[in-house]
Amino acid sequence: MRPEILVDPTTQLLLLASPVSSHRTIPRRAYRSWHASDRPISMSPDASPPVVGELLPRAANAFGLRYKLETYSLDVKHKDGGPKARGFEQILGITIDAIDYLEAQILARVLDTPISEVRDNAPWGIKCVVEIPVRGRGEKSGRLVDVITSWEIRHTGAAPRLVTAYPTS
Amino acid sequence: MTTTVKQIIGEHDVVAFTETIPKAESTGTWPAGTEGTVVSDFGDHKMVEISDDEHYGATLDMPIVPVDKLKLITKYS
Repeated sequence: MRPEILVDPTTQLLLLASPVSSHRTIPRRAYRSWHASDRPISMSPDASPPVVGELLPRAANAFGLRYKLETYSLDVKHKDGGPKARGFEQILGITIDAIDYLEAQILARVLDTPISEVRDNAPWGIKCVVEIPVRGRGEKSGRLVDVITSWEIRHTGAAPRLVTAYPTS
Repeated sequence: MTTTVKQIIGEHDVVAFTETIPKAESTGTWPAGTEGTVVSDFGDHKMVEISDDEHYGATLDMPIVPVDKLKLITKYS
């Protein structure tokens, strides 16, 4: 037999009344997958482009990071990636050997670091810049330096993909 | 009979502009011969990062350029 669902008008709790187990209460919010107050700062719905100060849309699904770091920003042999790689090493003590650390730092902090710049690249989507604080390694562990990360979002609702990353000097 | 094989330009290839290209982040243009790296591939257009080697590769600009206005300098391998 299906339980009867009631709403308490004072507490706004859902009451599940079952003939077998009297009743139990479940917070109404438990039925919502997301609530505005759950987020530290505002975020655009997928239907509108983000603006400066908001979080990167779908940051939890950000991709392309490993590939970009390994083959460009931490590749000392690349003509344009090399200077970035030397910057990571000299400023933060991070080399290709610490790619796991840098990848984890960026993936973690991109979730709660607001966008600092947005550029419309129509018809190829938008580019968002997020300045992510990263702690150094080894002798540089006392440093906390912003790493500039640029993300492309090719169309509304798409996950962000990393296009470049380098440390601020 | 000769056959010309045109190399496909892809991500992380180093390229040069074959003609003047408008700046994306500010006013003005980049002269022909300016070099940069393809950081995103849109097929017949490429996003090219022009960076400052003296400041740890800081981005100066990232225009999106038609592939027919690019010349391959170094193929990423």
